Amino acid sequence: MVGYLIQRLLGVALTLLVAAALIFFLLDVLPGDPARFMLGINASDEALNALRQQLGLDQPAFVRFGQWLMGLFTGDLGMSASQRAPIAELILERMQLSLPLAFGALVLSTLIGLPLGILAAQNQGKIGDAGLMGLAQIGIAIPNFWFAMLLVVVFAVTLKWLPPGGFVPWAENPAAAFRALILPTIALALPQAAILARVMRTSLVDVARQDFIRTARAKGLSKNQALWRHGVRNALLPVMTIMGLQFAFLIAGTIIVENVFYLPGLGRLIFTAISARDLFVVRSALLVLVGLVVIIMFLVDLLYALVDPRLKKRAGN
Amino acid sequence: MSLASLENLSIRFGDRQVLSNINLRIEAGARVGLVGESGSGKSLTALSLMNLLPESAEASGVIHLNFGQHVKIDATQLGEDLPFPYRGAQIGMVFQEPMTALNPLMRIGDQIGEVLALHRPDLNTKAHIGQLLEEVDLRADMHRRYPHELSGGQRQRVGLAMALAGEPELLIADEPTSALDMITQRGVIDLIKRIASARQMGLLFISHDLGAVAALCDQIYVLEKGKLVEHGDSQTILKNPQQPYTQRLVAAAKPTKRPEFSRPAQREPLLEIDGLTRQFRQKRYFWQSPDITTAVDQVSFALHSGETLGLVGPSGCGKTSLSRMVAGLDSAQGGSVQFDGHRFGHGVGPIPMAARREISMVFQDPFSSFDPRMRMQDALLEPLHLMPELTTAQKQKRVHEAVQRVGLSIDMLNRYPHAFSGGQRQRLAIARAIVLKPKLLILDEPVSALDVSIRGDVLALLHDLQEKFGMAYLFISHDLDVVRAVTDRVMVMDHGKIVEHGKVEDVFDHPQAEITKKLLDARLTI
Amino acid sequence: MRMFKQFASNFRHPSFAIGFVLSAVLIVLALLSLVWTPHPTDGVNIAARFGSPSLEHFLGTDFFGRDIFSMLMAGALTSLRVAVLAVGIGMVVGVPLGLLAAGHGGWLERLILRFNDFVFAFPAIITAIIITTLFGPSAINAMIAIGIFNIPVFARVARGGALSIWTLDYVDAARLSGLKVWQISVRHVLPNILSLLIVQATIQLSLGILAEAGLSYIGLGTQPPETSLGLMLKEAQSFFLAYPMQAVWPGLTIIIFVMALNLMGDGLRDQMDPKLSKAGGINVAG
Repeated sequence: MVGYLIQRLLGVALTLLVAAALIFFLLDVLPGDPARFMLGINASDEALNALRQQLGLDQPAFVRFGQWLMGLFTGDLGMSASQRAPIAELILERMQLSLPLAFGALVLSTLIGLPLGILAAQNQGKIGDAGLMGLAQIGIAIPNFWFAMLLVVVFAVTLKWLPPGGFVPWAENPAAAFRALILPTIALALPQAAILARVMRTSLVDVARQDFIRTARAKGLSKNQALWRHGVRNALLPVMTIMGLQFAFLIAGTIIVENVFYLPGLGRLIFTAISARDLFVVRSALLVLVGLVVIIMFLVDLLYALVDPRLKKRAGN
Repeated sequence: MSLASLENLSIRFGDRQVLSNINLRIEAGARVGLVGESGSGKSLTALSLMNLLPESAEASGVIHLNFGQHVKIDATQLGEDLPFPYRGAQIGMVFQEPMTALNPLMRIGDQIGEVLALHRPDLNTKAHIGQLLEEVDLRADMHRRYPHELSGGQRQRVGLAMALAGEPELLIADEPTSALDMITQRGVIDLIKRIASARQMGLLFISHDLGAVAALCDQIYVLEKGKLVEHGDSQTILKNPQQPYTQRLVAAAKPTKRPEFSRPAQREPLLEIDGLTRQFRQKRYFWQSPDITTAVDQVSFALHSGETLGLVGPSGCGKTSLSRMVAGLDSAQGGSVQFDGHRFGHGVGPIPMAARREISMVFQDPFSSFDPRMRMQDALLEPLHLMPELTTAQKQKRVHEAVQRVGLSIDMLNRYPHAFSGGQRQRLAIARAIVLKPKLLILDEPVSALDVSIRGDVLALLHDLQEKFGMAYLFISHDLDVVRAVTDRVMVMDHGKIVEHGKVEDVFDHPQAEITKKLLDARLTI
Repeated sequence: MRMFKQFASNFRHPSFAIGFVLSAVLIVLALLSLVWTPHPTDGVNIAARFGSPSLEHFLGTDFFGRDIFSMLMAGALTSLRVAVLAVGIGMVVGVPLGLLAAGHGGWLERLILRFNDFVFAFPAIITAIIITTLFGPSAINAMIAIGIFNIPVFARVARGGALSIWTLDYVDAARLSGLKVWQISVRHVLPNILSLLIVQATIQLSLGILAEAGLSYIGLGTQPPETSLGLMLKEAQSFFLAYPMQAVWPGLTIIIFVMALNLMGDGLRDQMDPKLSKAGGINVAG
């Protein structure tokens, strides 16, 4: 187990290093002169030189890459040229919105999707199964941001239960911050829940056909008892893998849904930075996003290892 | 009153009748065998007694159960809604696939304890679970193991312990040993026999293997395509089978030696293996040095044209790895192969094209031997890639000759593999192997996956082909009776080494190596 | 003939039949927009803006007075084009990678698997952000971003399917016949995993339409004067409260399109060899 952990952690570190190098290459090296890229073609030489000095662009690329990497550990990612604030601070501030949104959606979609998937599998071939899977079919096809727009019309504009958009920082008014995130979380979670319900159903139906379920029934368990006691845990294994992959899309989803609710999250930070050609903000924010995805996938693998005693057999891969 | 009986049981799926009017009775303490080929409906017979039929099955007839009191069940009522308290309690069941029959995420002690919790909560203790494990020849401290930490035979014993935990009066065993190797199979059969008599249980033992049934049961029912063709006590059925189908089964269970044919004397062997070694390396983490397992360890032997050399051994002994190296499918980590003037192996290089066309192979499973998306015609032409000097018409002619040689008609060649039966496919696999007119044919369990009643025909075909073409055969099999019938010499392999080697009669009649004795003892003869 | 029969037999599956017919109708309408739409999609007619459904404009008109139905036809074509080309990129690069990994094994397989894991960490939106930062937003940008994400998906499915084929005896028979790894991959493996790849392609197609919509909605994809279903939603958002139908129509079109493709994929998958579908198929949203 310890060996497995070390091997996977090294893999995560390597992935992040390569991802950082790739992002650095694309955004810092490929544009040629980042200073000119940021200031535009008409910038004066003085302005360019000033910016180069300010950002340390007069140093060779690998030194700058090293400095950036070091900054990721020390928390000093430099200053944003456009927003005149430390980049690390900007990202952290936005994360207090984006992270609860992504994780809230993950939890909510799991709480809705898995039980419904199990319910459908138990009623396989019956009307309840068909109904649930029909709903899931629709849920999967709904664009989350479009669903978000509908939610705003119904719950914010018509019923006035919840705010239509905007965000108050947690420190100022936790209740208001929470209320601001309810609709975005639901908008993200429901389509995800539809996917999870489908995956869970398929997996459980697959497991239900396996020999050990028949063995369990031969012991005297009823069909549902056998499914609950022996089926669900086995069926969860492939579902966990899918959940790990889906997290990447929840992250992507937060960026899109932020737009509907005018939320100042990581997405907004990135888009403002792109318009201002503030490459340093973009590269750090992107790496944070990639890092989140990689870490979640690692945690899923870890969870898998804890649940499945066969891990020792499939080690190394 | 018998313990359990079936009266006119019929089962169909939609329009397809799979069982018709089965009448079968099991007396208390009696051991009853049900023999039939795959698809004969024998498993469904067992599942109906457990009320575990698939939902789409429509059953009719009557099931009588007599555990303390007589219960009459209308088979049309079978299903999830029918209260059926006997399952796991008065009736226990063991299934075929040891690898998948246990929940992989649960310790085996807990899986046994689950039965106790359901039916005998008073006995649900660690000590009693230990006793059950010891009853099936496992150690009591194995209860903490997960299924993947056990061998196939051990898992099957766990399955048996689970079936016994409810203290059943009737044990149903559905092909419980078919997936095990010979030695383990024998052990499990003896164990079931011992426990059944010790516990005075009724036993319904289902198998395609007449030998296994004969070793275990006092009564035999023979099932053919959903109909009972014959039943009676074991001795009568085996000694004096009445129905042609039963006669064929009995004949196939004791293959007879083919007449020898004369071979021209030759000094030089066709194939000479020298110190062939195959290792597998596996490492869990990249900083570790790899674990090396040696599947084939310094094997040397020779084979002459027209000769059949048997290769036997317990599963995992390396016989498949060895044959794959000889065929040039795997590379060796040591040693070399001298074949018909060519040399290949470790340090010499891969098999040369000229040698490749002289070696062919027939595989065990006729269903995975052909690409389902390729017409038979094209599949049989494929080996002729190795003979680019032939014209298309010549190649075509070769294929037609080969197909006629194996006793099939050439107008079937336009069909896809799914249109052929298992026996036909194996004939076609042989045809594909001989289209190159090779000098060596490697036969890897060529009849093991076939129904018992057609094995004899395929073996006879192989014998005829050898007589006509003088090919050498390397014949791999776990079935010692078949090996004795078709081979001249035999090698016994264990842990990657050849431990015994000689004329088949000498080796089988006077075994020297321990493993040979074990294999011979494990034989299930009738 | 055999191909046709196989294809026709799929129609016995109701969800395939529904999905196929719906997709076919939408694809034909989208393609039709190349040569004909009920009204031009580039004219601005401020006087006719936000028109209600009528005989002439039976879904009404938009902010610029353009016929919404015509806009949907043209928009669907852009969405479809992006999704199809993204699937193309994924298949052309991913399938050979998967076949190579399965056939070659060893270090090459490990390298390809690592590469797969790596690309999975870059959802289409992140790639799109990078490309947009460098070159500015466009439909091609979205297509490449989605396409890159499709690569590991197809590589993974192809490898999974191919691995299960490589264990079969007919592959050994082909090796005995002197065929090389790539010949076996093309002759035996690819035809036998084709159904698996087609199913995955329909799924990725539907995910591609969703992803295009998302990217265009946040301004990383299709740009005016072109139109796409996602861009129509972006444009509709500003007047969503006053004119909700502006957003409802493109949204419904996306939902129906995606559902139709998914139903078709499900139908195909249900009729596939169960052993094979277990080996490969994954279903992740993009």
